[in-house]
Amino acid sequence: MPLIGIVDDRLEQRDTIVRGIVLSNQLPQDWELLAIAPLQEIKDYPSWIVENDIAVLIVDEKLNENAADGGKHVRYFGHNLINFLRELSGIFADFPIFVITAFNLTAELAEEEASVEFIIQRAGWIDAAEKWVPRIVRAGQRYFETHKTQLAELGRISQKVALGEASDDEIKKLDAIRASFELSLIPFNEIKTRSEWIKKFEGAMDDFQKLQIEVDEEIDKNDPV
Amino acid sequence: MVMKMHFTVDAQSILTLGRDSIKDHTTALIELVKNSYDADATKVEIEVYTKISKPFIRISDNGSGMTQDDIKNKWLRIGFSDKKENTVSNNGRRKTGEKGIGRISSDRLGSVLELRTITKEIQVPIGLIINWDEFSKKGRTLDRVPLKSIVNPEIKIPTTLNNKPSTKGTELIIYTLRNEWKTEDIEKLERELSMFTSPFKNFPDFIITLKTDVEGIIAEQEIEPTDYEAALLELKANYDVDENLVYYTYKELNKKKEPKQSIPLAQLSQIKSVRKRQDKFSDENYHLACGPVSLILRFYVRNSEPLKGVSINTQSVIKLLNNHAGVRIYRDDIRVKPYGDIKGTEWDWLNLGKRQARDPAGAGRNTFKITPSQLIGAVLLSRDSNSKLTDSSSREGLIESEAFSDLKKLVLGCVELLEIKYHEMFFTEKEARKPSSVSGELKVLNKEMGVVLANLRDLSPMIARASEETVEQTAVQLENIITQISKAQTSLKEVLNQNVIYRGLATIGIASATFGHETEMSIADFINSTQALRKYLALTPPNINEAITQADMSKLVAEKIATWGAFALTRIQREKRRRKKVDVQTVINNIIRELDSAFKASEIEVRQNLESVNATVFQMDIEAIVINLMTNAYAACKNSFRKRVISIELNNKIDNEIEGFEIKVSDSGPGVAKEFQERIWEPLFTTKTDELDHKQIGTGLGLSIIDSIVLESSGKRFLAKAPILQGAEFSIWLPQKQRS
Repeated sequence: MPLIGIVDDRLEQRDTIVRGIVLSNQLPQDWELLAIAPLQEIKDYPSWIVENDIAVLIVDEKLNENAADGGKHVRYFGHNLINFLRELSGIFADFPIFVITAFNLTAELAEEEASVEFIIQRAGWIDAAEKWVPRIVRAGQRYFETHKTQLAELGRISQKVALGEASDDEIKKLDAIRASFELSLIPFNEIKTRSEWIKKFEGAMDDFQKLQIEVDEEIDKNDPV
Repeated sequence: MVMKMHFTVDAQSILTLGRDSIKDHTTALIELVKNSYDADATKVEIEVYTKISKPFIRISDNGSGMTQDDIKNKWLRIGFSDKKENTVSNNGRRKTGEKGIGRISSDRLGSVLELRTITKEIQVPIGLIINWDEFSKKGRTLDRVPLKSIVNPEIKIPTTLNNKPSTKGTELIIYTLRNEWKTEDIEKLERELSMFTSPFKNFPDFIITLKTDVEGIIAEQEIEPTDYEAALLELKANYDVDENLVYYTYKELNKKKEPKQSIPLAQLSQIKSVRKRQDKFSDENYHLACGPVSLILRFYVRNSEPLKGVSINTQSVIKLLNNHAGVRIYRDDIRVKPYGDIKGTEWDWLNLGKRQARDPAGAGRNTFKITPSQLIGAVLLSRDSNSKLTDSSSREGLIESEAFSDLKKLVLGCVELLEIKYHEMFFTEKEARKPSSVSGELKVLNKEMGVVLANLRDLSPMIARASEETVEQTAVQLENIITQISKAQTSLKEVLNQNVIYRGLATIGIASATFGHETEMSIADFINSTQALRKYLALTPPNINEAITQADMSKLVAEKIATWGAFALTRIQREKRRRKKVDVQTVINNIIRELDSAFKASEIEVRQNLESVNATVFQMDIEAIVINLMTNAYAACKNSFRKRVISIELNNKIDNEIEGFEIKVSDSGPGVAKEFQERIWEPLFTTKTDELDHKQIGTGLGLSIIDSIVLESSGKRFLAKAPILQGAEFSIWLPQKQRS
């Protein structure tokens, strides 16, 4: 079942977008809506999109006015998210994204204009949704059809992994699908536990410290003063 | 059997000394000019002709010339240099170069050399043709390469300094040029020739002219040494190796030279060190291996501030620095390349750039460092006194020996002296430039004019009758000036009053830019909620509950928009433009209420602690202060990981026995970096960036508006780190009764 994902930091704005879509009566019966506050980390979006069968995304530009669910304001704008997803290539190369904004086009958003389906003005969304929803659905449908089978499989096995029920063959299949989608950029199975992450982080810090000492020594050596 | 054996020299070895050892054709040409200098020439003519069918380079001088014997036993004798024994020319010039290979540099320029020369004693010119390519043929020794004489050569040499025909000199013409000469090569050559001799000494008896057709037309010019005037600060220093002291003087632009000072070498090497370094230079008994050195360092700035009142303009200074910045070495007044070569690898041989990049402190800090592009300098050596600074075999540069390292250390120490002095100058000028109000300045001027007038009147009885009229005329003129000043004061008062309005308008603009998106958002919400309301009512059956919800939403949003409208429209109301008694607490409360929705929308908590304060002020100014501070705090909060909080305080405060009040606004933002804490009050300077630190979004006007209010009101302003919120804390103190 395909979903329209809606990302906006303000609850009222999310409600307005949902309301507009519902009142337009243009949403097919088998489609659903999932409206969220921005995720804390930009790198969490690919997994969120894949795991929730998001076929098309509507995103706000200014995402840091209100705190995200984690209680902190995010440190990215909508155009940063778009740029991040496009750089991943794979299935995200043609992933449909619409931007909805109350502001004039900023230079940064204008740079991403070619990477998105449309940039929609927020004012008048309720009436205009009647025109936009079919376009949004069509874009999502196209995307979904192209990647349906793999996405479905990806979603199914991911869920089993999360529950600890996936077999070795299924895990291998998952890795293969992720590789083909170039999702291997996002470490998914590599770091299993928090302590393992901390260990890797501390190791990296030690390496940086050693490098810093070496650089200082080199500078002192060459210092003519 | 005893074999008689001896070395022979392959002809190709001459190439090692010639074209293979000289970096570029400009250097090769300069080598030949050095020979002319050593020959006591007073004029050198250089011609570079490339657009004709047989391109050539010609170097002709009116030096001492050579006899047949000179050519055979000296000029053609590789490695022989007369200069080793006769180090000084007949006219007292310390000769450059001692390796006896300078003449071979013509090979770098072209393969065929025609030499013509004539001496005063033997007034018959002799000539020689050398084809350097003959030396590259295999299997030949040097002595087997034939050279051709020129029969009855015609020689063309420059005139004397008095423009009379010269009776002696040498002319070199080089054909079959090895390099293409472009405009930039000629420009480089001109630049190098202008720096051939020390720019800080006059050389009226050594004139170089350059003629070329490289740009399609024949251009001729006399090479003039560059005028290095308009340096903001000059240091002249002299290292006395026996006393182990550095003597130095400063000279600031438009001021007299300061008295000479001295500093021990051991102290100079540590002058800017935080911790005392233990090295050979800190040893009082260590004397520099380079020997005695003199140097001149000139420091320039690229903005116009210090150049006011001087004839040169900023553009000239920038052009000068772009073409001539660098510290160059001169030995016996002749340049030692490549130190200070613009665009060369040794331009910044002192590593000033790297040193500055490691600590780019501005002039306001005591660790201030000069960049190489701000300095023009000359290090003056002598071959005889600095014998340990020896030439490298590459024809350019000195061997990087201990002596050279000591020389660098000394020059850097002098650079530090310059930096310390400029840092002091910066502070002195800053104090002098502290803005006083214009009206204050006019008052002072008025007063001083009055004193001058009174003095003149007192003097008048003492002056002879013949001059009395002049004195009287002068006094009348002064009275007229004083009247004009009074008129100017009145006009100024009007301008200052208008300033209040302009500041208010500018504040609205700044606030609009910052909070305008909230209004846009509200307008969008209003449109959407009214559209939704209609749609809910149009449903069958109508969804009344939802419709009511949307109607409520519309009302709420409409109120927000109305508040913002009122905020903008009430900023410059008439009564706010008059100085009168104002309830400051109420004024601030109103502003907080008007901006409340904008702060709430970005989840910024506004804490307030406002005492009751009444003051005689322009209400518009109080609002400008509070709105600008709150605008800055708003942007700062969004630029920080901390919980978003701003705090506004108002209290009565006596300062220096004057009753006043203080407005304090602090935020939980990232604070203001130390190096910007004075600059942020300057107009158009801003550190405000968007929430991701990517784009500068500030106008640079908010704090300068506050600064001008503080100045005109005789108030005070402070910036500190907010102790609780950890961001910036701005405090503005104003007197309770502001006078007109």
